[in-house]
Amino acid sequence: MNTPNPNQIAARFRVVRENFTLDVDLHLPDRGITALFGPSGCGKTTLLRAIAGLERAPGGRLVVSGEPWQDARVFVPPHRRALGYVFQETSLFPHLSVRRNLEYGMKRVPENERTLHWDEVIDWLGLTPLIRQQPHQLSGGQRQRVAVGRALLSSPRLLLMDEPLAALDAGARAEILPYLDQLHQKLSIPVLYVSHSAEEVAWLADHLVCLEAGRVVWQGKAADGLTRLGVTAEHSARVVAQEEGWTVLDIEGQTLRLPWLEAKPGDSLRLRFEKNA
Amino acid sequence: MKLSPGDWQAVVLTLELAGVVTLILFMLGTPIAWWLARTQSKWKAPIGAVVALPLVLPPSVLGFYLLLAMGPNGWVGQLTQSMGIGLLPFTFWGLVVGSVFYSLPFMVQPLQTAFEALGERTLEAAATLRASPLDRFFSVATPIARPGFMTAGILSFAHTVGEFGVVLMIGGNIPGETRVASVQIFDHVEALQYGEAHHLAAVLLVFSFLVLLALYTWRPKALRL
Repeated sequence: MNTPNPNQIAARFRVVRENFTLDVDLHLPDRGITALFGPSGCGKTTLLRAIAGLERAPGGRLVVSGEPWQDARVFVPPHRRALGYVFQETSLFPHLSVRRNLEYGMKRVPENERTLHWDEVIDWLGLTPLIRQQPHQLSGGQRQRVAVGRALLSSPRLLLMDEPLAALDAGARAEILPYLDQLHQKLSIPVLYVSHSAEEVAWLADHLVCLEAGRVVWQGKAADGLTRLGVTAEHSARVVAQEEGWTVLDIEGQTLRLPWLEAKPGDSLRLRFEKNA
Repeated sequence: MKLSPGDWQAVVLTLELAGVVTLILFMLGTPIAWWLARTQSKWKAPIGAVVALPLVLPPSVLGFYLLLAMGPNGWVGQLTQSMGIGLLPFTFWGLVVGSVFYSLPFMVQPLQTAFEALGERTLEAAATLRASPLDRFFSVATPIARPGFMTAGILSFAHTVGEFGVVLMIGGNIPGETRVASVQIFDHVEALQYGEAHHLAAVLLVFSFLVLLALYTWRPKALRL
């Protein structure tokens, strides 16, 4: 964790607010989803905004894949940082169609610097049926999918997500989570995911940073930190067969039979055990 | 109803004045409104109050100070003389300057309201999508605030048409140069030509009513998001 790696994200910020002081010095991995987890008001959104440059944090230091975005002499303004940002509530431009929203960031990146392409992003997020619509015609979950797509189409080198599901109801959350989970397998860029929901973090995160009152209280592999989220154990399982109302799973060489699950042989699943509250 | 050639001249001059003033106000009022809507500076309240002054100040007071400033011993007058433009009072451009001040709040206030309603989130989203501040202004703020621009333009134009006191103080009464419709009516009444005054007054009344009717009928379509 402490060996310097040029591809890492190094972030050191100290922001004093009325009700808390954010004081962090982080080295984050350059791949996968890192969850910034903690209760409301612990400073996780402030940290994300400081990383984006939306929040001025004088004295801070931020290096992303070897490129200094902020130090004593440099402050790269947000529009010159190759990042994508998904806000908690909808941030689609109301005067533009879904297509024009999606194109907004893409058009501002020179063609030879684009790393993610229109067709793949549209396909990953299932946006084809939405493209001709206006933002106000979409449901909350659809809007957030468009917002994620819009951020990705600007070819970011770092994707920041600030509680993207918090404003959605359970149904919309369940609809969008699989898309985010898939992204995570397809994207080669690091994602910082702010959340206070243990469920989302347990589902999505590879790496976990727990914040309390503006300070990092724990960080490490998500699998090692699950007890902090109230999750006792988690395993990945492979579906071996579907027989007579039972689903047969293989968990690290052990066989487990469960009442029939909606899955095909060969699918991989994640099993999570939680203590009953 | 028949307007005399003099009346027509006054009407055309009034529309020219209002058109030029509205154009200048778009350029001048937009940055002021943007700054007022977004700043947290301690100067926000004083500057806002100065912009709003013409709403409560008697036009003769505004006209008086402008007359002094633009006169041969005023600082504006000395500047215009040194630039070889001559003196502004009792010219069309003098009226333009006076009217810009007089109608400024009618441009700034609707725009400021529209810019304040934009919300930080939309502009921040644009910033994270690689749009520079100027780009954000033109690609996001301006189109979303369009109803505010319409209202501001209509009000500034109509308010300049209805101006009288400032014109009288700094423009005088020169046909084709500074004799606008409201002054022309005043002339007719002074000469006891009530019939002529009626015609022109009716034109202004109908015009003002139609402008306001248009404004109240046309409502900015609520942006649902």
